[in-house]
Amino acid sequence: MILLPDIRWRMTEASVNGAAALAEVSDLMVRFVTREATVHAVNGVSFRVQPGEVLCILGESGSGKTVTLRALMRLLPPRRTQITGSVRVDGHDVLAMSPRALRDLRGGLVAMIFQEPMTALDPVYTVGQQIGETVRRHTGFDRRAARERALELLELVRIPSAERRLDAYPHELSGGLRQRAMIAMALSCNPRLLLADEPTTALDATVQIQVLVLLRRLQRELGMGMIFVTHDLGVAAEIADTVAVMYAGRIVENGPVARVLTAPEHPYTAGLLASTVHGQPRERDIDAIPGSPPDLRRLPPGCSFAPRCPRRAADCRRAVPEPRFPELGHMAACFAVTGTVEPLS
Amino acid sequence: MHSLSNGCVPLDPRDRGGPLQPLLIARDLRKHFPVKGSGGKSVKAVDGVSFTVRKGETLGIVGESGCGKSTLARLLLHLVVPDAGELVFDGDLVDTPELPVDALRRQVQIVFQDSYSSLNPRMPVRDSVAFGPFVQGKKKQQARDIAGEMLGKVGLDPDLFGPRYPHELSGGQKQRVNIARALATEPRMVILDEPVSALDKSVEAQVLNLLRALKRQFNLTYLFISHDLNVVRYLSDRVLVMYLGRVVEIGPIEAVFEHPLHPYTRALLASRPSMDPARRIEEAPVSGDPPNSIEPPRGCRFHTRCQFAESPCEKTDPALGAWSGLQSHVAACHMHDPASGHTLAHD
Amino acid sequence: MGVVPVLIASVVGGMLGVLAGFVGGRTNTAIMRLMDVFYAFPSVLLAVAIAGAMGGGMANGMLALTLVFIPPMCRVAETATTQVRALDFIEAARASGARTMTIIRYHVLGNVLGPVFIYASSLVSISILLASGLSFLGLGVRPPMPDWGLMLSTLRQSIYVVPLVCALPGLAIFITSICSNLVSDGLRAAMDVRM
Repeated sequence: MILLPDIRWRMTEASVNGAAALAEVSDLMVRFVTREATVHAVNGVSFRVQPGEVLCILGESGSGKTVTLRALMRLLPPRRTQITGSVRVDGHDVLAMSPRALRDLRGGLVAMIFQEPMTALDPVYTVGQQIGETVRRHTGFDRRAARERALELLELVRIPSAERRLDAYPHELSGGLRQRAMIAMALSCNPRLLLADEPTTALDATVQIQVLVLLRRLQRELGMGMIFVTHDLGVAAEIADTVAVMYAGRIVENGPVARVLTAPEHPYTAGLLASTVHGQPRERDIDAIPGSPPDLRRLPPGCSFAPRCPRRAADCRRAVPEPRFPELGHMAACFAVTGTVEPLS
Repeated sequence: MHSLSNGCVPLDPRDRGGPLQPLLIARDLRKHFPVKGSGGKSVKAVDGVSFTVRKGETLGIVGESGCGKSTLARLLLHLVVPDAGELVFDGDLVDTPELPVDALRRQVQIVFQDSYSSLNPRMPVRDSVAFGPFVQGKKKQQARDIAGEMLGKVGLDPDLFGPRYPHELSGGQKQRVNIARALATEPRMVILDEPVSALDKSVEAQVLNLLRALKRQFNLTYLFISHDLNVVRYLSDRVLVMYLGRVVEIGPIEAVFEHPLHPYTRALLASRPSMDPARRIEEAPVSGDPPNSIEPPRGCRFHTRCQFAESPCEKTDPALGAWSGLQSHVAACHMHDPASGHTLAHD
Repeated sequence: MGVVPVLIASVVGGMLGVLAGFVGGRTNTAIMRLMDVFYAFPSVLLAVAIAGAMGGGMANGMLALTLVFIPPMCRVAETATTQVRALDFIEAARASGARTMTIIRYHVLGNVLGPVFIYASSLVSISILLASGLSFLGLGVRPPMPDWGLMLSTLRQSIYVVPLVCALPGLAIFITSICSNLVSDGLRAAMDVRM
C-alpha cells in the first residue's frame, strides 16, 4: 500500500485505493509550556495510515515520536500542552472530541501498548480482572462473558496455560508474558488502530523477536492498522510497511520500508543507518553522526539537522526544507534532495 | 591462530608475567543471593563461572537478563564478595596478601550502564573524575589536573564541562565522564557493563569509537558486557556467552558468530532483527522466557527451551569442551559430546 | 529556644541516621527501632514529660525539645542515606578504592544534608510552638527571662481586660513560625530545581 503524505498547503482528499485513511494527521504542532521554558516537541507533522497498514515512526530520544503517538489519543497533560493542527482517526476529529467521546475512542477504536508492562498493568488486580474491566467498559458483557473473552484473548496472544494465568497478578508473570498480557488487553475490543510505544525495547533479544512476530501475525489476522514507535532500525525493518523518520519534532523522511532503510534520501536517515552497528569492519571507526540532538527549547532556525549534516549549505539555515518526492510515495524534507514538490508526478 | 591484538606494544611497568600470562583468571566463581523468607532458597546469580582474559584483548560477555553478567562484573572487582571461587590477576591471587582488594582496584576499573546514577548529582563533574586519583593518594590539585586532562581525552573541554553538574549534561556526555572517571586512576583493565545500552544510536557510535581509541592509546584490556550482539562483534576479540549463571560458550569472535556450537548461542544470534525488510524472521528461534535463577532446571539449564533436548540433557549438566577442532572454542552442550549419549553427537 | 534544639537534634539525629542508613543490617534495625520507641509518643506529651521530670528552666526545656526532635531527624537522614547508598556512584567510589568514611564524607553527606536541612527548617517553627507551650505550662523559661509563651500564660487573665496585650505575643509566635515554614518551602524549591 502506498502512503500519500500530506503537504502543508494542500490537502489531498482520497488515497490511491479509494479507501478513506484510518488515521490522518495534518500539521500537528505540540508545545509544552512551563514557567521555565517552552518545549517545541512536535513542529508540523503530517502523515496518513491506511487500514491494515503498519507505519513505523523511527527516531531517537527527543525526536517527538512518543508525543506524536500520544497526541493520537490525546494522552498528553492537558494543562501544560498546546496542540494545533488536525488529528483524525476513522474520520473522527480527536482534538475536538468531548471527554466522553474520548473515553469511547480509547480502548475501543484505538488502543495503545507501552514500553514497560510492569507500570502499564495495575499491580493490585489480576490480569483477568484488568482485561475484563476493559471489555466490560466497551461492551455490555457481564462478568462471566468478559472472563471468557479475556481467556480467548490470552490464547490469541499465545500465553501458555492461559486459564491459570487469568488469575495471576502482573508481578507473577515474566517480562515477555506481561507484555503479551498487555497486548491482549489492548486487543480486547477489536481496535482498528493499534498504537505501540516501543513495546519491545525493554525486552531481551529472544523475547523481543517473539513479541514482534506475534504482533505482525495479529496485525495481519485482525486487519488492524498499526503505528509503531521505535528507535531501533532492525525492529522497523522487521515490522513496518512504511517508515517515517523523525528528527527534532519533524518528519524528515517518509516512505516504504524497503526504500527508506536500504536507499535513504535524507542525510539523517543515511547517518542513522551508517552509525547503527551491524557488521561494520572492526578495523575502522563507525561513521558516527557528529554532535548531539538540538535542545527542543531553543531550536535553531531553518533545518534542525543542519548543524550536524554533512551536506549542509547556506540555504539550510534560512528556511525549513519543504517535503520533496524523489519517487512516488517517498518523501524527504531536504534541500539537497532532488525531486518534485508535488506528491503525484 | 590467535594473535594478541596489541602487537608489539611496550609492557606496562606494573606487568608481572609477560604478554602470555593471562591478565585475569576467574576460577569457579559463585555468588548466591539468599531470598528472604523463602526457607533457604537463593538466587543463583553466578554459579560456577571460569574464564581467562588475555592481556590487550577485548573479551565480550553476552547474555540476557538474569544470566548473571552484571553480578559477574561486580564480583571481578570484589564490589560483591564471591561465595566461592578465586580470581587471579596477572599471576597474583586476589584478596590475599599477594594482592589485596585495594591493590586490585588500582589496576581494574568499571563503567556502569546507567550514566546518570553513576555520578554524584551534587558534585561538579571534574570533582567526580578527580575523586579516584585523590582517594588513591594524589593531592587535591594534582587530582584535579589529572581529571581535567582525562576530560579532554574523552572529548569534553575541561574548562567548559569541568564545573558542570550531571543534570546539565546529555546521556552521551555523562557516559564520557564515566569513562574519564574510570581511566583517571590509570587502570590496566576496564570492565564496561553495558556502557552504551542506554544511549541513542548516534551517540552510541561516538562512544564506541572513543572506547576503541582509548584502548589503543592507553594499552588497555577490556571486558565488554552487553546484550547487543552486533556491538560485541564489532568490539571484541573473543566472546563468552552466559545463561542462568553459567558459561555456555567461549571462543574467538568470528568462530562463535559464524559457527556457534551451543543452541542458545544460535538462538541469540538468530534473534537479532534483520536489517533487511525483504528477509524478515518468520518464526522466533526460541520460545518462552528465561526461567528464574532461584530454581534453575536440573541437568542442562537450557534444556527446557532447547529444540535439541534429549534425556542426557535432563540428567547431567554438560561441561565446557572443545568440540569444533579449535581448542580455543568451547561449549557446554551434550549435542557435541560423543560420550554423553545424545543422538546427535558423533565423533 | 527555637533554633538551638533543632540544630543539636540535626547533628545527633543526622549522624545516627547516616550510620544506620549506610551500615544497614542489624545496626540499622537497632537504631531505628530505638527511635521508633520515642517516636511513638506524641511530641507535646514527650516534651512535657521530660521537662517536667527534670524540673523546669530553659536548659531543661531545650534538652527536652532536643530529645523530642532526634527521632524524626534520624529517620529523615536514614531514608536519604539508604536511597543514596543504592545508587551507582557509591559503587563507583568503592571501586576507586575509597574507604567508608571517605565515601560518607564526600558522597553521602552532600546528598543527605539537603533533605535534612529542609526538614530541620520546618521543625524550627514546631520548636517555637512547643517551647511556647512548655513555658505556658510553667515548665520552660522562668522569669525574669522573657518568653512569648510565658507572656501568654501570665497574661491569660488580662484577655478580658486588654485583649491586645495577649494578642501580641501570640502574633509574634505565629509570624515567626510562618516565616520559618516559608524558608523551608523555599529551600525545597531551590534544591529541586538543581536536580
